[in-house]
Amino acid sequence: MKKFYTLLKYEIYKLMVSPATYVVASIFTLSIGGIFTFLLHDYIKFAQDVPLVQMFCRCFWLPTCMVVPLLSMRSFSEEYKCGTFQNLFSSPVTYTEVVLAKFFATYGMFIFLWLCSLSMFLAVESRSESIVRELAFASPFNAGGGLLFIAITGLLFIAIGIFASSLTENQIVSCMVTFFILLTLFIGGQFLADRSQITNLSLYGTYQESLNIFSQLDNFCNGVFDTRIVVFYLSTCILTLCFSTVVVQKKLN
Amino acid sequence: MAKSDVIVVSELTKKYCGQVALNAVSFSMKKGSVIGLIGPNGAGKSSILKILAGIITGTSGDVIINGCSVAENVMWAKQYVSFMPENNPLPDHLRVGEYLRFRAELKGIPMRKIRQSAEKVMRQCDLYYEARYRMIKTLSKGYRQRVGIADAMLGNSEIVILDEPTIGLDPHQIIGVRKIIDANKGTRTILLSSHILSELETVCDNFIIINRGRIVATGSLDELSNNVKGENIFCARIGGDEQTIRENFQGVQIIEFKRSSCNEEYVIKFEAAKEAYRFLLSKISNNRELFVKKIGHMEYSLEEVFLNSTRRCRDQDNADDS
Repeated sequence: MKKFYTLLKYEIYKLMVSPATYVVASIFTLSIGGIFTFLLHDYIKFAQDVPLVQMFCRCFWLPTCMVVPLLSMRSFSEEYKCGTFQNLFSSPVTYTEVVLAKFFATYGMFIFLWLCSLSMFLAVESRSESIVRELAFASPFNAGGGLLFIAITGLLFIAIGIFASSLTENQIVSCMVTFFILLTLFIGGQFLADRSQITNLSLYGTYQESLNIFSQLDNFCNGVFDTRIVVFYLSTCILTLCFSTVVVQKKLN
Repeated sequence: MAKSDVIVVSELTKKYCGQVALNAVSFSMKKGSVIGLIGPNGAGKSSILKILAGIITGTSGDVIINGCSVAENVMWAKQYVSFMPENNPLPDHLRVGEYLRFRAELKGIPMRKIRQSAEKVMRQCDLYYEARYRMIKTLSKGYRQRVGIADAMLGNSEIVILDEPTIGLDPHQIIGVRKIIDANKGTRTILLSSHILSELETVCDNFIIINRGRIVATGSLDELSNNVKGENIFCARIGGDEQTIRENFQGVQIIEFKRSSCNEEYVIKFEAAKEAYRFLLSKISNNRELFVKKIGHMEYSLEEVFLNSTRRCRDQDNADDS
């Protein structure tokens, strides 16, 4: 466990001193800033049936699709390319420790960026009239539930990014693979859910809930904490990380 | 397996996608010895070193370090082995001191001793005053190599494996590396791989020559020379008239006859049976026109031993193929 903390510290440091991380953070801030401003204007002009925070959380797929591939692409690909892996594994560390350290460092950065986005809501909260505040936030469940959902799904998304990075030494390829997997998850889940409604196929009925990310998000924002969803994302995250460990091991041998 | 053997490699085979990189390699290393691993490019040197360091695993066979199988207990074995890979890849975003402290932490050196250990190796490798606070990406090739060697020397690993440690170093730095290795001789077992054979000749006690994934010769330079030379091959350095020398050498088979570089004497490589050699010796020593500077069994440099061993192996392979 001590080795894990050492590796985690190293990975976080690596992210903090890399200019690429600041570029990613800027892209993220610009994208969520743009989304927030657009939604706020829309919200003031037209009456909405959902609070602002929920509308904002519904757009989380866009910054996620941009940021997760960019944050995770370097984790293994860069090590493969530079050959620093040999140095790392000549010391008594396990593959699992290395994969977990990279995962938690990237996940930590992902969560940190989302927490920074709260500042926009705090600005609205402190500057706007009470009626706007009430309409925008409705209840703490909306903001809390939305962010909790982003944090839970983030586990799987970052794990996918780490897995894609473990496959290749080319960072661009790793980035593209992650982007397309994430896009497929977002759009594919929605598409299957819509299709099952149109064709009335009961086959999808059971799985519809676990595939449609946006309906899960709405549930969380409305204060429905579904443990099945947590188990689904947690287990798929662990499975993906296990695959990453196997791939790294195979790559070295 | 002898008690003093710290590493025992037996029947080690490594295949990459069906391609044999190592073919039933077996050798052992005594505690405190310095061993040179030599071989042409693609011979399997790096594979052996990586398997010993626990980075990769062999397809079959076993590596035993301090009585424990590396395949069965990699983490345990890694505590005894320090490894500096070929080309010495280093993370560019760290300072030299930071990197060595990070490595010390990973190697399990107690927290209170980390700074001290890092400073000790930095002083040993001449990094302390000039490069301690410098970013690794700004270091020259020589300094990077020194950081790699400092990393390998960190802690109390019994076995140090260095893959091409002197590549890219200037003569002063090579002497520095030699001094570090000499300082650790006897206390640590060092396995070196290099293409600079003259360098290995000066630091190593024993050598392992590998070619096409097989060990073709092992032993000290004397032992290897004995294997290469035939018992009846001799070499003489004689001053005098060429005609007179040739007359005296009638009856023995001359392999090579040439003037020395300083043009003062002739170098004659010849093959003779024991009796013929004794007769020749008495004949030329009694001849007042000739001045015998040196005569005796042929002596080989490591380079000649290496070339001979690998050539012999290649010829054998070609003969097997045909």
